[in-house]
Amino acid sequence: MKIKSTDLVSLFEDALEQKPGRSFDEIGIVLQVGDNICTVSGLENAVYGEVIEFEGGNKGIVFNLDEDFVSIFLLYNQLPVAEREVAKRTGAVFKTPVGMGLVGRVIDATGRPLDALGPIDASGHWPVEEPAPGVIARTPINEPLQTGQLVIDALVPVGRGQRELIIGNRNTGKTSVAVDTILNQKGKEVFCVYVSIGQRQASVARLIQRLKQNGGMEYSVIVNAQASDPVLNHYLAPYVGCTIAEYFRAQGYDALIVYDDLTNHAIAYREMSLLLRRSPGREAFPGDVFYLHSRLLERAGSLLKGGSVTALPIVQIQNDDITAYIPTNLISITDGQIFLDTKLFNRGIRPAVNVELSVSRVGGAAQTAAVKRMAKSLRLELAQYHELLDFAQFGTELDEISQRRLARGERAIELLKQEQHHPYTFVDETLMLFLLREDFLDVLPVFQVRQFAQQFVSYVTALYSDLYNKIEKSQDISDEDIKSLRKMATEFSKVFVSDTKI
Amino acid sequence: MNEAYAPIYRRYAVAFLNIFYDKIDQAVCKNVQEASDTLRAHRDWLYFFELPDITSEQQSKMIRLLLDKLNMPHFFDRLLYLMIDHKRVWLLPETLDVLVRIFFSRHNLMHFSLHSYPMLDEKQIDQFKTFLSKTSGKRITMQIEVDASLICGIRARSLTRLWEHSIKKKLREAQHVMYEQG
Repeated sequence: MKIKSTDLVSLFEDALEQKPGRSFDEIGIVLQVGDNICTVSGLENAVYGEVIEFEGGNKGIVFNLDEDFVSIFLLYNQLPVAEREVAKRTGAVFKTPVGMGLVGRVIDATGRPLDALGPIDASGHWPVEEPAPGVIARTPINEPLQTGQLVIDALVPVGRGQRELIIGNRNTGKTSVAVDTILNQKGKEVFCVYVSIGQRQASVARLIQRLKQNGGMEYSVIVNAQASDPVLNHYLAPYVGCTIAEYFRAQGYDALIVYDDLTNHAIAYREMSLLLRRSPGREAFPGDVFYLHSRLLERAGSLLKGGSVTALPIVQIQNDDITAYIPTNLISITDGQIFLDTKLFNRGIRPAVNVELSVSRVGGAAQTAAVKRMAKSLRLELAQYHELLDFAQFGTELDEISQRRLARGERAIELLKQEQHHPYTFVDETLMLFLLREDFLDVLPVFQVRQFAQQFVSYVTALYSDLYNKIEKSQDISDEDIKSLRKMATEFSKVFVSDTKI
Repeated sequence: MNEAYAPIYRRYAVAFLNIFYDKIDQAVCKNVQEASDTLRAHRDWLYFFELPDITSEQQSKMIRLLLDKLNMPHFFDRLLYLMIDHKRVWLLPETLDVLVRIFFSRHNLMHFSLHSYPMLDEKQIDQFKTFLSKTSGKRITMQIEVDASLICGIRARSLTRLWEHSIKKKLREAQHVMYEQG
């Protein structure tokens, strides 16, 4: 409180020193207020997207310009706006604080801190609506962004600067995949921005707690548009988060941004458009809902001058229907999708990534060479397994080769299971995939597969750290390394004792 | 007020001004502006004109009473009759507002309500009028009031322009900054 009163005095001193302006403020009069939208007459020269200040302290953004009035969406719902109140033009567009001082902070869409850690130490204010970088400024995506999740890094790899959609029904672990990816960036000089749009506050609080416990807040910023916030904040939050990520990119760093989720964002925009009486289209969304997301996601990318913004937008679907309006829009905008399946989730396969429906359109080029080499045939093997599984369910008698494929598929799926908040390094992933590729897991019962793989990684790390470090440094695995690993795996198989019971 | 009616009341205002432009002067305009504010606060007065079993004689009497109450010239009854006939008399405050605005714009006039604390003397008012006129490029009319809530300073407001330099403004700005910093 002391800090606040000191601030007030200095603020007041500054204000008193200001000389009276030589020009007028352009004003309008509030005609109507309701549903967080406000109609103002006057404001003759107001422009689309301009910030308008109300005398009562509220602020808003112009969204419609009419012959006799403008329609303004309000930023704060705690500050009342009265009929006949004076609204003033600011001549500026909406800006958000940016800077390294934001790291570790939780802010709302208007840039106000929500974490009781004092004022934000911003190094500047950037407009939230910025054009996406052009083709000349961009560089091809060829550097991996490790998610630390074996199934994703092996089968749907994400590159720095990529836009990878996370799609799935509710309660399939979409946020967990994103949060684990954030946690895996620890110590990798990747700044993370998590944008929560209309989520339950208990969930967001839990997420922040989880990030704090695992050291994730040391390099992360949370932009939180609460469910109780005005609809404008839901609309602005992703753009605010993106601007903050762009700031990190402008400083030459890599940034990762998670939009959780864009379904709520589209719903917020639909609400705004309907209140503005714009024509509703499919599913009552306005005609420009595609542009709403394309202009946001196009801002991600890797730049020639250095730095990148990788986007992980999340979209929620109903009953596995990926053909709904917003999901299809986002699938077409992004560079691939990670599809999370309810059935897999309920069968205990977590992360519940449906490998057949998931794809990474640019990630292959950005995959670590070692992982790429080890996971080469994995997708095919899994496809064969799923095909054979359908036959097996009919009670068909299968030949020996098919049975072997089934057994291998089962082990592959078991290996791809991973506990929450336990990310693997790419070397760990390489070693695990090596075990599968070189048939070391085939002789084990399924329930021992993960334990065997994890213990093997610890074994190599402890006893053969030279090889481990070599792979880590070169990011590749040579034939000679594979030969050595074979020896180590054989050696380990002899000493492996499982403590897991069926 | 639903903004969708804006084009409608604008048309009534323009039509009325086209016929009675010569009869309207600044003094009338001032009364019309006050009438608009009063009617906005007492919209219930206008509901009487929408009663279904009102006779034409009663209607005429009520119109005369209303115009007298609002200090408006009697030729405004033409506007009222027209709007009652079209069942849009409830748009009267907005129509009068627009009427004043159009009149001022056609005469290159700008009306300011000047609030100050403490009270300004004649010389200061003239100086301020000159300043407003130079800044806006228009002829200025003024309504002067003392407003202790300013604490100290001046606030001049027209329909679309505001000039303020007061302690109240500074405190308001400080309050906004504090709010934004959480």
